[in-house]
Amino acid sequence: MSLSKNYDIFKGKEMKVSVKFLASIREIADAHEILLEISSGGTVGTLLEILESRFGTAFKDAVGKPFEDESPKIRILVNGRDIDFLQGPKTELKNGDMVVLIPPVAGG
Amino acid sequence: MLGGYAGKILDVNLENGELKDIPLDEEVLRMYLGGKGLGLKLIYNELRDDIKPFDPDNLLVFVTGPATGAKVPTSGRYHILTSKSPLTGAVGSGNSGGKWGPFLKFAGYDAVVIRGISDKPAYLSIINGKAELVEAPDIWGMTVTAVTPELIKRTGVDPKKTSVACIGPAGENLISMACIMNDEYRTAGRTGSGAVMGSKKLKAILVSGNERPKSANSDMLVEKVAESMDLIRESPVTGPKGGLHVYGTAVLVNIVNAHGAYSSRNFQNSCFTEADEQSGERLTATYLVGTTGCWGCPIVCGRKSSVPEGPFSIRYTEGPEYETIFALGSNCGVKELDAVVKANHFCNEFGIDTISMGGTIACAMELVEKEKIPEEDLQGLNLKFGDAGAMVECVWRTAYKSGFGADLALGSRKLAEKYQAPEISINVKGMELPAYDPRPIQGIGLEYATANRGGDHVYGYTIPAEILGIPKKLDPYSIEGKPEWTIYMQDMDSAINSTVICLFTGFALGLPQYAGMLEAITGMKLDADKLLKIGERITNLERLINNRYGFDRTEDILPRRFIAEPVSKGPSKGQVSLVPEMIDRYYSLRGWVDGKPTEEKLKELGIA
Repeated sequence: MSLSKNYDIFKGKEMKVSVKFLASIREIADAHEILLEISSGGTVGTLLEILESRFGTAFKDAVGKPFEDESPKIRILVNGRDIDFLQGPKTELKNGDMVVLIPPVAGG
Repeated sequence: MLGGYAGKILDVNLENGELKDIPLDEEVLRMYLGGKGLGLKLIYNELRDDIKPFDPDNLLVFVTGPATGAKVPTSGRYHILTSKSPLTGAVGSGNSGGKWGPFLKFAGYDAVVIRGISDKPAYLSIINGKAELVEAPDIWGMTVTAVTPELIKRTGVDPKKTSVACIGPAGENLISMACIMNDEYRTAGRTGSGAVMGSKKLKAILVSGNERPKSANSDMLVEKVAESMDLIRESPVTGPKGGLHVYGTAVLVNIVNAHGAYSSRNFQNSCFTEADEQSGERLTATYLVGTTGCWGCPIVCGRKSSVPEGPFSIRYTEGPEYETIFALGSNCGVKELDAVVKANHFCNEFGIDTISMGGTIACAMELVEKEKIPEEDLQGLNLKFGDAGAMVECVWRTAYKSGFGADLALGSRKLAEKYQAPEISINVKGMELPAYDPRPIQGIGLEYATANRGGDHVYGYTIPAEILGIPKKLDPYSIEGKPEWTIYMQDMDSAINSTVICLFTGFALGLPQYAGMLEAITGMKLDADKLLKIGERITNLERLINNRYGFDRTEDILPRRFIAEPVSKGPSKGQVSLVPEMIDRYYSLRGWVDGKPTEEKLKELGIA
């Protein structure tokens, strides 16, 4: 497995967002971090749709429905902040933002 | 007699070699359970306000709880306490897994109290109810993985039914951050209990036995354990394919770094650019050769590791944990994971707390960076942030007080004081801080400041809610509700560490499950509220002991850096700790004035 893969899959759009995958999500995406170009005004919700479309069924199963599930399968950070403390799926993304997808893990 | 207990304490006087059996007091157990609570009570009963860490009457207490060795998940744990810690000057306290706790109980004892100082190096064996002190000057100097099999061989016991707790050279040399190891790779890491054991010239305690205490209500226990096991198995954190088993605690490296709370360079920064290179994902893909678990544990979070080649090669070791990777890695500016594995191995062999070791090396690196240490004092050591070789060298130099290692052996507080820059030691009550920058996580800052044993994250582990969303999400930047949450976690963790089972069960279980299992084991009528009250009593007793030593609100503070220096870059840029805004509410909720429980509070809890 390569250590990182870059997918410039939306060339011609207006802003670039980094997406980092941790733990089991990393294995499913087969990537540590990717760079996405998305439309200006794009939100976390639209970003997740793009990712589900890009990475397919296994990814979709792994993330579940994070904005609806009682016990979400992933947490999403934007620039270090859990989106629950921002505007949730409506959190608008800006050029250069870092989005991190975290499955339920813990340590000590 | 209550269920789950062996029923007696072994009292060991190293001055005259006298070994006494002391029956457990049922009323004390009902108030303090066992583990940390019982140990504190035993210490409090004989407390002398002006005691010094290496005085003969500084008690060293090894103590199990009613759940230790019982048929409940993660029942392999026990607690170690000292009347006074050589690192902090407060009461000393640490918790360990492995299998030592269960086999002490199966050997016939709930606890061992060590007093006095032996004339010659000795070890204690407790085999099927028979205790013996054995002079053994020849084992003094042995490392942890050398002395452990040696004592099993000498005593001729079945290794499968035996466990050894011991010190390494760091404890013998009275290093303030020395710890007590058991089963070679498990440790009650914090507050320097290894140095107290070394001062007593006690090298090891071997325990071996077969006698399992009965539970009060075995049918109820089966039912309660089934409920808890279901929750543990179903949890995506603690389950068989859960994050803890697959990645170990090191999975937190990337997560905490993403929050801007994975400090580097002695907490000068709050994130580490190269964190991914030392992450749990990276460890799993490189040096992991297997997993290992403590006695009775279904989670199995321990790491078996090996670095096959290079300057930091090691054929076999265990770990490193998240805290260790932070302390010896990013906090020292070191990105190389193989160097951390090697340094962790040395800490295990010599018996050194990895968090305090890393915090002290990082402090020294900043002192060098700021030109506070004269070149000649370093005796050739190239002590700079990011120098992996120098970091590893510091560990063995500390254990043997070799060269600049004699300064490192002081711990960061005394080291920074020696070089007239006390603000560079990142400690609370003299103990180096663990792996969560308190500026972007307000609850953990309050927890560090108020923890009775000094700067410590698991005294009341607020992180699951603040960073991991377990059992609920709390905004880490907010102070709202944080005094309440900190108190809840501190008291619950006091109860868990007195039960004694693993705090990691808290990712799947709550007070109702703990209370149910404890009631089935002991026969005490318990529920969540009663158990939390016991936890509160234990936290307050510990506070009272510290008050007797002179601790008050002046010690419940964070290093100035976290209050006065906002995070300069990274995801949490601009954040500062707001502990000064929370502390009075914390005291008010506690029923304390200026860091001291009031007489009314002590009376309410039945302490005074």
